[in-house]
Amino acid sequence: MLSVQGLQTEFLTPRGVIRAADGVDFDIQEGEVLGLVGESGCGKSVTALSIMYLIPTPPGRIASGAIWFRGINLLAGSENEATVHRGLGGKPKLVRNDSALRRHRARMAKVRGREVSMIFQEPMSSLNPVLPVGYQIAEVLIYQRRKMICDRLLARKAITDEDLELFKEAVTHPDAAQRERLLTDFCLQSALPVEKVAAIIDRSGLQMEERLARIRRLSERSRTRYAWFLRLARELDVLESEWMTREWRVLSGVASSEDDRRRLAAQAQFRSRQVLFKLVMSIPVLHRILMRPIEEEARRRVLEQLKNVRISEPHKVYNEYPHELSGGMQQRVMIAMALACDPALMIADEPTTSLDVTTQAQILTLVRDLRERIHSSILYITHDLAVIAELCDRVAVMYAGKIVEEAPVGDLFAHPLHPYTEGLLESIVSLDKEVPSDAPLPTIAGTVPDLLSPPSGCRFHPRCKYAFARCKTEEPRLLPQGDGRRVACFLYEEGGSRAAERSPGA
Amino acid sequence: MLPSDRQAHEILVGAVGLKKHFPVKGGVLRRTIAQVRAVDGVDLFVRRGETLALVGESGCGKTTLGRLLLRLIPPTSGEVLFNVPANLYASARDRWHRIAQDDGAMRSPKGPQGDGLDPYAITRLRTRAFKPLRRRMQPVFQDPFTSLDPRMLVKDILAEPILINNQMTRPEAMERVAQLLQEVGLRPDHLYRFPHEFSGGQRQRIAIARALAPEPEFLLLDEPTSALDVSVQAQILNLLKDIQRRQGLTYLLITHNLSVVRHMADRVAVMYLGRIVEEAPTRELFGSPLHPYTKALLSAVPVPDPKRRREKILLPGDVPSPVDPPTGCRFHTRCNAVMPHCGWSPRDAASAAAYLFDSSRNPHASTLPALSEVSMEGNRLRLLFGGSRPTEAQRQVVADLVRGRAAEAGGMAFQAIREVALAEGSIVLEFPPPLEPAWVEVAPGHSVACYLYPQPQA
Ligand SMILES: Nc1ncnc2c1ncn2[C@@H]1O[C@H](COP(=O)(O)OP(=O)(O)OP(=O)(O)O)[C@@H](O)[C@H]1O
Ligand SMILES: Nc1ncnc2c1ncn2[C@@H]1O[C@H](COP(=O)(O)OP(=O)(O)OP(=O)(O)O)[C@@H](O)[C@H]1O
Ligand code: SF4
Ligand code: SF4
Ligand SMILES: [Mg+2]
Ligand SMILES: [Mg+2]
Repeated sequence: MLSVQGLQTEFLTPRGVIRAADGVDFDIQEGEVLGLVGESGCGKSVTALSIMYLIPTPPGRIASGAIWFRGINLLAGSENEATVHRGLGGKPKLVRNDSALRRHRARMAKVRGREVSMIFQEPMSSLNPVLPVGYQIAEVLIYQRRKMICDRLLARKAITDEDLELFKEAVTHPDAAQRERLLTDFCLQSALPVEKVAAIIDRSGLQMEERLARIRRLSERSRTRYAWFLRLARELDVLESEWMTREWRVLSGVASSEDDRRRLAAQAQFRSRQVLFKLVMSIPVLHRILMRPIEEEARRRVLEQLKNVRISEPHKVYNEYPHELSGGMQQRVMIAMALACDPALMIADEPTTSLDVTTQAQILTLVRDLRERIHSSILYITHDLAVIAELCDRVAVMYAGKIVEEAPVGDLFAHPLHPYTEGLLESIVSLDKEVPSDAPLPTIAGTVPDLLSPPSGCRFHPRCKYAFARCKTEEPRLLPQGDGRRVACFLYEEGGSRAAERSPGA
Repeated sequence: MLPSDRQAHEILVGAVGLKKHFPVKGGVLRRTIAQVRAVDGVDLFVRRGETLALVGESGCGKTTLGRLLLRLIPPTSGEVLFNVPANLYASARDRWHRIAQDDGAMRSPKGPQGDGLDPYAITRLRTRAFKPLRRRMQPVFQDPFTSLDPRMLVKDILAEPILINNQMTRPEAMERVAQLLQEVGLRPDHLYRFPHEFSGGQRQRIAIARALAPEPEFLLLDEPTSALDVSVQAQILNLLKDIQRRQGLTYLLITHNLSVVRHMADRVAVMYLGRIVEEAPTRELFGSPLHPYTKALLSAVPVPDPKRRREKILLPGDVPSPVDPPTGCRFHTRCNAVMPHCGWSPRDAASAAAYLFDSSRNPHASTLPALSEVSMEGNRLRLLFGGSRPTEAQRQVVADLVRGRAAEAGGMAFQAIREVALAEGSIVLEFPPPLEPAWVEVAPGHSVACYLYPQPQA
């Protein structure tokens, strides 16, 4: 599904080159949750941003590596965007190739944007402060998921007798909870808005006939008009994705002749349809009328998602500005934005740090649900090892720009291999772990290395209590250790003191 | 400086009846259409030298409360007292509640004149008079990314508050800066860097150093470690404890991490929807939580062990809105121990009533005339039946239906109904007036607001 290979991302600062990701390797399978942990500043967010191609250039650039996502290399075609030149006096300087960058960003937005969502670490700096939050999410939906919205609108059909039977039951079922469930079922089947149907059900003084008549009228009113336009918009998006994906396969060097042919066909069809589309949209009145159903559907979906992430009064919050929300609410707005897109791959960078544990439990349920429902893959970055333990299938541990250990979650907690992982697990503050309150908490001695001049050899050696001579000069490689584990530490290589405990390779 | 300042009193910061309502703007003209009751009547005190932890659901008003205590925003009503004797604080609180009960109206931030609180109430000071106090109460916020000015060198970030507050020369101030930096575990060469050149943990240390610079007595720590990894988090917590021990600082710690609370705090206050619902010494709160919300909160703490995924008490139902909080006990819509007298009101029963008494929907209601309207008036739910005046026999049918529904699962709201009466051509279901549970001290220092625990005699 996603395979990151040898990713190197660097920042050019006045004091030198910071290699924030230095040869990062990992895979995520379909439907898998991979946890990424590591000390503050070790390059987790940089890895995530590199996958999204959102590294600020300058000062940053992706120096090398490959990111394979569903058969294409996301980095293919981006090689010439930013190059390092030695300036006068030997200072390296980043030179940006704007047109190449713009082309690649557009390609990313079209292909990747439709399948990958990211929850950013700092909600305040990724939400626009001068726009209401609901409006911002709706914008993203319309821009990136127009196809999904059109599909939903096109799926609406005239109401059947069978639907009406369901509705009758939702009105008269003796059990309140069951009525609620029937209402949801009915709205799903008939694609009618929940609030309006609920209002008809709870309106007193109506006979059943009158209720049915109102539902029929509601269905009539919300029947999809201008289906030709929705189909056109949908087809445009499909063709564009097809064209871009094929083109990208060519860039990635994995294309067959078939790809080339399909790319040209899709491109030609896209161009011809786009003419019509642009013509229609250039007339303001038409634009307004035709876009309205799409906008309304997007709004509905946003409200639904806000409710899912436990925002009370979604209608009020929809119109509020980011600064009017509490820290946790801003974070939940970001989560709602990512979940609304039904992404195939979701990257969550510290999504629940400012949420209380009950709300966090709810969010974790939503994440699990996303995976169950559409089999999404999730890269979950967090400091909270307890969340990792609850949610993830596998864990990758990062230290100073490198992955140092990777293992299934149970094995990692039961038996950490790398000395850094060991230290990390020891310093968990846990409710079950009794620490006398005047004793200091256990920490990993020493400080995070400065990535400007990382330590030689194993980057952990200045802080490692097991370090020996070889660690200072040579760099350990990430080697398999059996049972799907990998670790980068000399203790487990040939001749290391722990090598005997495990049989390498397997 | 406050007149009371020559002495160090037991309570460093105390809040009395504190409220903060934010206007909700709406419509084309963006007029105020409602109020978000972010903090809605909070009494809270922090003793000198202790750490009080404040926990609660996201959006329940913790940050707002912290900002009120530091006078970063003005309260809608209520007072904040600084450095006040314990007995004076207690009597101020009692007096406030007596007055609030007498007229029920929202009061101005200023309490009654001549109540002897003038020397302590920072909410009564003018901005200029408050200025010298500001340095004695410092905040540290969650986000070290946005709370440090990116264009200033670390040395200037730290020197600024010292130069503003003290009559120090520049060299003296720089000496103090170097000392501060050492105190938070950074190296002198870090002085000449910009904030973005540091990792999250280091930035948080700088934020703490800046808060310590003006030598405050009170620190508001609003999620100081939630952006940090476990190892750095442990370092920062050790640092905070160490500073507290050496300098006798007082902390208000807002955090979602209950393990941190347990390690750091002397006392814990639990907040729900703008109110404090439980307060206890830390050990006692974790050992024997009393309020159902506290219990749910403790059960939801994730365990760092993939083999033991613990049973959680999930809170059912929608999160109630702080614009129009539930009546009675604010937690009653989601409480798993809820009782008939917890503050149910007509709005909890309206939707069910629309089914229950409608002859076209509920076969058991077939002897009733067609229901035309269900309306809410105060603590009454009124049922109107078309043009016809309901009879005594029909009232009996309604009363039976109410009894039947009350016996079913989820029918708690109907158990609360006191009376089914004929009135003005309609049938009226009467609920008891919604009273909030009293704040009861169950054990020394352990108080809770919940009807499960004995209420004081009226
Ligand atoms: N725009 C930038 N300019 C210069 N250096 C940067 C920039 N962004 C990141 N870095 C550097 O890259 C390194 C890795 O940063 P990153 O944000 O990925 O850390 P992280 O692992 O996400 O840490 P945290 O857990 O604190 O979020 C840091 O040392 C930081 O100094
Ligand atoms: N400036 C503001 N304008 C309008 N409403 C506000 C403002 N600040 C806060 N609120 C509202 O007040 C309520 C409480 O917010 P507050 O930030 O105090 O919550 P919190 O308990 O700190 O939550 P979190 O744990 O998520 O940070 C929220 O409903 C929020 O929307
Ligand atoms: S390679 Fe050496 S220094 Fe690095 S973690 Fe292993 S033992 Fe420690
Ligand atoms: S008073 Fe206590 S039992 Fe009743 S609803 Fe509130 S928390 Fe639950
Ligand atoms: Mg990060
Ligand atoms: Mg907050």
